Amino acid sequence: MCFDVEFIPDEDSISRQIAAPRQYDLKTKALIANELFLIRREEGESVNWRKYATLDQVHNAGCHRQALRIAKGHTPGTYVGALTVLVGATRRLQTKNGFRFDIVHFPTDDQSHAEIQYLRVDRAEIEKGEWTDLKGRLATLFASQLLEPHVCPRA
Amino acid sequence: MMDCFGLESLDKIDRIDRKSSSSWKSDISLPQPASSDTERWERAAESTATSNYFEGFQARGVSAGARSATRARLINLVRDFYCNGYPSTSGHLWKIDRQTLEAAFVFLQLLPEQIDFPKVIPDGEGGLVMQWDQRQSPALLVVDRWKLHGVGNAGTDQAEYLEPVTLMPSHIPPAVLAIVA
Repeated sequence: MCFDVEFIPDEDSISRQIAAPRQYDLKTKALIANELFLIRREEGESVNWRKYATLDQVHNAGCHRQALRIAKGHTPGTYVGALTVLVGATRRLQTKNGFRFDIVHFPTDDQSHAEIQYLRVDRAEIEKGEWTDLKGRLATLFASQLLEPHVCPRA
Repeated sequence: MMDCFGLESLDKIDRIDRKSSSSWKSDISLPQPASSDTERWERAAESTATSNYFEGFQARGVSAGARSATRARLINLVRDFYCNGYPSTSGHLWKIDRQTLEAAFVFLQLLPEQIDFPKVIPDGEGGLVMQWDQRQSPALLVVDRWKLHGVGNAGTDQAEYLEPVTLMPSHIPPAVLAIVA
């Protein structure tokens, strides 16, 4: 199915699926901030636009992803829940030199699929340290939210 | 200088580390090169222990032996990022460059005793991110081959982005030391 691409307003929310043990320490029940967004400058990072996904649907997608990894024979991450932030708060993050992110609707077979993408400023290339600082700000924003927990049903 | 096999000096550190830190368990302590892409991916996907799970980063009140053990764990972990890579959240396998491995090794050896060890993670572009995040003035450093990209007061309005500097085998550049100290 083909979905139209829409502009995502600042007042809307996006959710990030979180899996243990990479992004969440099951022992201490704490988020691991520096593992929340392992992204490169040229690629986007997936999130769910809550306009098209209820929290239950986000959780279902997280469980589905976990099941796919098991089916492929990869060591599964255990889906533990989602973190939700406002789009505007994400867009307002920026480094001292003005580098920042945009949230772009990127529907696949899932209409809620969106990406956090690095926004170039005047074609300038962000330097590695500043890029890492920007990613850290993104992780801090998400890690400051309470995890909306979920336990996937056993297959 | 460094490869996934035949690292005599590092293997010696491994042995010391295993003796002095029996409580630390990880499947990444003795990385061996994978024979195929599939094996490489599967092994990396199983390497769930990162430096986030380490203890003993603090510099103060720690014995020299404990500090050596933590350094050895970090070096082993960085070596694993070179040999086997680390899976990103988008499903790519991230490896660090050989020169980055060598520079990180030198940096961790040169790091003065009074400075905490950083957390480490690949940056996805061949480099290695070092983070000192549990402090009032968070700092980070991207080791990109022999270039160091430092950020003082990372994540704050007072963030300071250093001009990239080259790591020399003899010492850590003073500007970098100033932000991580």
